[in-house]
Amino acid sequence: MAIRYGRNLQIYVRGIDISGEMNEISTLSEQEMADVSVPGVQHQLYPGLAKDSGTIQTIYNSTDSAVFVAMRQNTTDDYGMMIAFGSTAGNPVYASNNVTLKANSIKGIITDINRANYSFDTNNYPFEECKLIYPKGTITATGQAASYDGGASTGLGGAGYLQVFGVSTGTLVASIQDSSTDAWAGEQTTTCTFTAASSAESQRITISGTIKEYTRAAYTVTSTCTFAVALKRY
Amino acid sequence: MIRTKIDTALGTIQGLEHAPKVPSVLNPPFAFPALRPTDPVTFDFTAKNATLVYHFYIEVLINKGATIEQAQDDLDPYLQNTGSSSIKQAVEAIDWGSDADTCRITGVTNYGPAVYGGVEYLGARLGLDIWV
Repeated sequence: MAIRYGRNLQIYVRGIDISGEMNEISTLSEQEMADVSVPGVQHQLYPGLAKDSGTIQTIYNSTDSAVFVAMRQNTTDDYGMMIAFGSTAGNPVYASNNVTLKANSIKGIITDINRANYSFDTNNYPFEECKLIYPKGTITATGQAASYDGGASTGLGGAGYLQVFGVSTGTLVASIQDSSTDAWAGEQTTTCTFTAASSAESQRITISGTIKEYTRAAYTVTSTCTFAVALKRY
Repeated sequence: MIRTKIDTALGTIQGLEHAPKVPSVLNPPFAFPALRPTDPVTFDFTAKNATLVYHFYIEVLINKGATIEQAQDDLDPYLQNTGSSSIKQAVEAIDWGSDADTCRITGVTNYGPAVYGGVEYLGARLGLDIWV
């Protein structure tokens, strides 16, 4: 089992990499438990819907990252967040495309650097523990990335997560392909295709049915693009 | 470049000799930056090692001269919070540009005898944290 240091954390919010400003992140996944005990018979709790939340501690500087400015000023839209515990294919990733800012604060201490804190909740889907299929990288031509061995085929569907950091011109059409043999000689199928992106953004796409053992990111571009892809298997 | 900028800042203090590193020859009053001997660098303050902290000290040395009392009077102005001889004021005014983000003189330690090259001076150290 690989133990990972926090220094390798990557965190992306709506296509902006804020890793270099982040000092600490924590998430909390909890469920409300309803008491359905039958008096005189048994004590029983019934789980409700999952609700995830989290906090980010960052350095606050005078030229704040655009995402923080946006998060403080826009309280209506959800944000896609990807927390990657490393930058290698197969590293675990916590991802949600429905993060909403709950609270933020700035803290200035005379004998310390200025800091900022952000609290967020997730709407709809909670954080999903995924695998990093395509670590944040830049491509300049249509093609496919190296494959990742998921260990086995799964048949309950899943979800694909995309973070787009930049598209020079035109669009990026990213997809996830899968194969049973890792040959990629025509036997592969397209598991899911993300919506064409022309600028920084984040997406989540539901996958139904079987996801074969080997997966890889594929991309169709007409310019320089930077993006990352993660996959959740149910 | 960090040492160079510290050295330039020390040069704005009239009458203070200075160098960017521990010198082999010095002529007090003299000041120079040196990395703290223990834990001189804090890595990984943010993810991807985007932020780190250098822990320096600035050594200030005064000839002991005729009396130790006079040596203290000569040393103390360099340790003040503000003033034309204030090392804290001079160093915290550095425009780091792309070399660093910010800095802080954290305090004064080792006020007393200091030996360099076999010669005993009166000295003090100003702690300096530089965020990069």
